[in-house]
Amino acid sequence: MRKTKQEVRTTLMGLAFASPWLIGFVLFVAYPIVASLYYSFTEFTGLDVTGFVGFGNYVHMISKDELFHKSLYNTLYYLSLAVPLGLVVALVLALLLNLKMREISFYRTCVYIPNIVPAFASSFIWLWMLNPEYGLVNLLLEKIGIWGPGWVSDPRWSKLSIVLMAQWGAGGSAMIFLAALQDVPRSLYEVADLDGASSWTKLRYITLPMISPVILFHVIMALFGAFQVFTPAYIMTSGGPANSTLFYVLYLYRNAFNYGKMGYASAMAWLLFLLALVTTLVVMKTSGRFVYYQGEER
Amino acid sequence: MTVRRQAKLVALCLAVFVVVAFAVVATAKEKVTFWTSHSGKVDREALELIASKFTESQDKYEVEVTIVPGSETDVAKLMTAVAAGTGPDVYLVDRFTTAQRAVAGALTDLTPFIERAGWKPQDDFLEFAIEESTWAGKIYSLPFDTDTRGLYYRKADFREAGLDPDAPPATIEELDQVAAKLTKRITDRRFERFGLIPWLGQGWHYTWGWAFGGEFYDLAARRLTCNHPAIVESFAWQQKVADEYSIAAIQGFASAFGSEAQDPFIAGKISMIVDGDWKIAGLQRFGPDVEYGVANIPVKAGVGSTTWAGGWALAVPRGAKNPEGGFEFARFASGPVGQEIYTRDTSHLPTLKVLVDRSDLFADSYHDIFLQMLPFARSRPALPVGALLWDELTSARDYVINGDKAPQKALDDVVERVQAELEKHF
Repeated sequence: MRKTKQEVRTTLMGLAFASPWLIGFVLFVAYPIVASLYYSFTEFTGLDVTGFVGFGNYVHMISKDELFHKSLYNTLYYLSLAVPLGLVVALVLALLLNLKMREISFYRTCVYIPNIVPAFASSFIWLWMLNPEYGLVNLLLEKIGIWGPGWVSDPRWSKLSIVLMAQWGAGGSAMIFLAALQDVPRSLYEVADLDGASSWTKLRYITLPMISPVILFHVIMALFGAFQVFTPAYIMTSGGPANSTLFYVLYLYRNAFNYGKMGYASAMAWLLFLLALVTTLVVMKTSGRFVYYQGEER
Repeated sequence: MTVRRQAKLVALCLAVFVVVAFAVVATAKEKVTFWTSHSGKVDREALELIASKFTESQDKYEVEVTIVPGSETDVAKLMTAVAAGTGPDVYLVDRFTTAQRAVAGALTDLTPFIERAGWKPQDDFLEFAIEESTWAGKIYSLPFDTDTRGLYYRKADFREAGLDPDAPPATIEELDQVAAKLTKRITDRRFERFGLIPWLGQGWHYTWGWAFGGEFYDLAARRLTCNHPAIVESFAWQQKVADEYSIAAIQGFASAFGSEAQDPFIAGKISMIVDGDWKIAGLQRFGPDVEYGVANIPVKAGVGSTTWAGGWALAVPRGAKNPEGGFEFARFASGPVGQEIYTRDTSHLPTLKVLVDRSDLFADSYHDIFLQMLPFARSRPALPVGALLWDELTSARDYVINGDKAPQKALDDVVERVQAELEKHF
């Protein structure tokens, strides 16, 4: 089909207006992504490519690198706890914030406030809260007769501490859930009330199905976030003690910038991407049974 | 005004601007950019003073100091800037990483500049320092400051435990006995005071490895020897401490430690610690009443006195806009004028032979002991895998004290991993 002069002109104009974004995208996103794929097959210090190694980086990573396995394990451990826990905490918060109360907007603000604090700063705050001797957490535990653990200084507790700490930011997701909760048609609850349904039944058979698309969205975003967990370990523990919080991306960063192995780090990044991609596809494929879109026939 | 007249006016303005700009450039000094990750007030001000002294001392260059993010081994800012062609003319690197950055292609070989100047840096700098700045026979950085490590001990605690405060332990055996006497328990898992927690402060793998008589690298064979029997023994010794008092209990006790007035040595939570000479300043400021002594690090019987020295160095990154200016500034800052200012203002130790006996540069008497250690001080092997080796040794030490790996296995693993990386560079 031939386009008229006018159509071509409009298209060009459109592209021209979008060009700041287009140029930025190509230069700063698309090109680095493609380049990192190439570098993942090389020995690259970050400045010079010193050799082409084919799949060497990938093979070494999987077959020989003990720390790679450890860091992958740490990240998966974090992910398998932080994602479900984060979902439950955010949902519960959202349900609470959906209550009809006069001062509810005050609570909503309070719950959201931690999200305004940068991860960098909140990591420092938590370092103090979790201090085994002087920290607030162990002080409270001691009041009820529990001798708290070493939290981040004990390798058996360090990952769990970071998982718990991540719940501090649940307010952001809670707000998204809250918006979804308020979109659930009132009429459904009214009908259920007439039928004498309990609160639990309403939650299980009305609320959760109605907000399930938002839950799916949350799970996928949380998975991405969990695969990339970095800041708390970088600031609070430097990956220690005994590499118990050496997360995948932290080890990747070290290879790239501390050890001068940017090629290896690129390979790690691509493997992580593939892992995240497969996980997301699995979640998307299996979610059909749990997710209900309005207007859909069942 | 017509369009033509407007254009003429614009052209005139441009011409004037260009002439003025050229005049300014012609009389201005060439700019030399200097990046450092030293953000502490004392260090930063001393560096700025050195920069301004250099700017005054000649007519050609003007130095601009910029504080950038980074740490000993984290040079992400430098690497990305060099890759983008926006790096500085001089960068202050942790000296033991010189070889690594050189191999990564981030540094300029300074040998041609040195030869052109007809200079022999080996004559001026302490041997261990210039060795750390050298890789494959080429000099990539000029040594700046250094530091040594010693055993700090609290005299009052010694008296209280019935020990002679003027006879600090000299051997590992004595150290064990003294430490046991100084440790005070509250309950089985809670402590009031520890005699010594070996890995605190500067009690690194290198510290104890050398104190037990170990060697980390065989230069002639180009092989890492971190699984040397003496180093294995030093790890086993630390494991014994961890097991005896329970590592969880020690970590709980240690995680309450802070800095400044909460520093465990100042607060009296530990009686002995291996630490660097910089601790003197901290004690002066936050614990002026603490009565303490400093001794050489205790060693295994039959091993000579040992300590290790670290410190920083000035390098000219690759792609520097003004490498000549960068080299001139690096030479000035690492020379007698620069190092004298830095030593006096920051109490860091110098790497210049002429400054080694200048105890007058220090306000206190404790620094003498650290200066006297310089002749037998050692530096970490200058290898392109220095940062990796450090992290691997630290992990190995952590594995051992947490009971995750046996000392021999942990150190064998370090050698296997790092040797493979090292061999890529030969």
